[in-house]
Amino acid sequence: MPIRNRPSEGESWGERSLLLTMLKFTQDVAAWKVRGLTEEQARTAPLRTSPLTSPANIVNHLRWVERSWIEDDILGRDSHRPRSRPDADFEEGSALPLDEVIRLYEEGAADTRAFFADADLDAPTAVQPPDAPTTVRWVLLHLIEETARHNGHLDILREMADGEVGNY
Amino acid sequence: MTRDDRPGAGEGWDERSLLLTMLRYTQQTAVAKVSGLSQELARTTPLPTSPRMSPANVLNHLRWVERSWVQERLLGGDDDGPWTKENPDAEFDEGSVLPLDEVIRLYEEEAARTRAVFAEHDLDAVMAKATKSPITARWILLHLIEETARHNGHLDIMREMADGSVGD
Repeated sequence: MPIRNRPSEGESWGERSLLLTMLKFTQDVAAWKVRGLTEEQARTAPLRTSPLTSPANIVNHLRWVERSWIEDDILGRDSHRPRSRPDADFEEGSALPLDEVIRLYEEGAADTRAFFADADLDAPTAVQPPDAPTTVRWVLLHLIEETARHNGHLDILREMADGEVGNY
Repeated sequence: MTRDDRPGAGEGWDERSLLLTMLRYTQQTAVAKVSGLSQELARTTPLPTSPRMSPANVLNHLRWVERSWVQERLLGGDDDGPWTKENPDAEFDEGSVLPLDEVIRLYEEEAARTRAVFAEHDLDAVMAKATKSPITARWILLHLIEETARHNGHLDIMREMADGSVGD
């Protein structure tokens, strides 16, 4: 299926539809950027100053970012995000086979979109930072921004791994 | 000025306020990522396969991306970008001709102009330049957040390669 950042023919251009389309675009790009790498390439962290920044680790981090925002912050439950160390959700990406990292990410990404398809965008999150009345709408927008930024990281890591480039 | 991806005290949490806050956050992040670099580091292209990808060139590209989407396509102004048929990426190259301070100043000026338009414009309005799909102001605003965030990911890594600076 082609990766698209605009609604398809017949789909709505309303607020929620555009947010979901843009979220899906960033998610699809993330999965696309790591697909086709070898196990070794996916685990290579080419920046000496950021030893956890590998393609597989980033995608695995993105999976937990989504789960954590929805389960921990919006719903006030427990996402079971790995927390034995500060960046344990990155590290897990190197322990799992790449196919599994991608499968779990895409499964979670679909769950995330299903959640936001029905959620009240004006609802406050269960967990509120002291000085900011965070809402579901903000979380959705934040996920687009954060995933897009990590896609920029993936763009460069992929290019360094095998020379592949491209927007989508 | 602090960079914040959430509205400050007294600012709204409605759809438009959140979109504008997120856009401003991505714009300010782009500026922060190139600020403080020497002229030489700002023009360094660390990826052999992408000889245009330098911090200054990316920021200059982002300025023209905004101008083209907002002033030209949304509002129906002239296409006054530096690109030509022979060099469709001239807006990147221009970033290496201008002094870095000027690249930043022009970007911040355009960024403020963009925010001023979206502070008022009907988000449901279809853009002035006709295309096959009915592209609306809301989509353009969301796209600019996504594109700027993704380029910020590129800037994150280029900055880290330039002088080891990291951070959101």
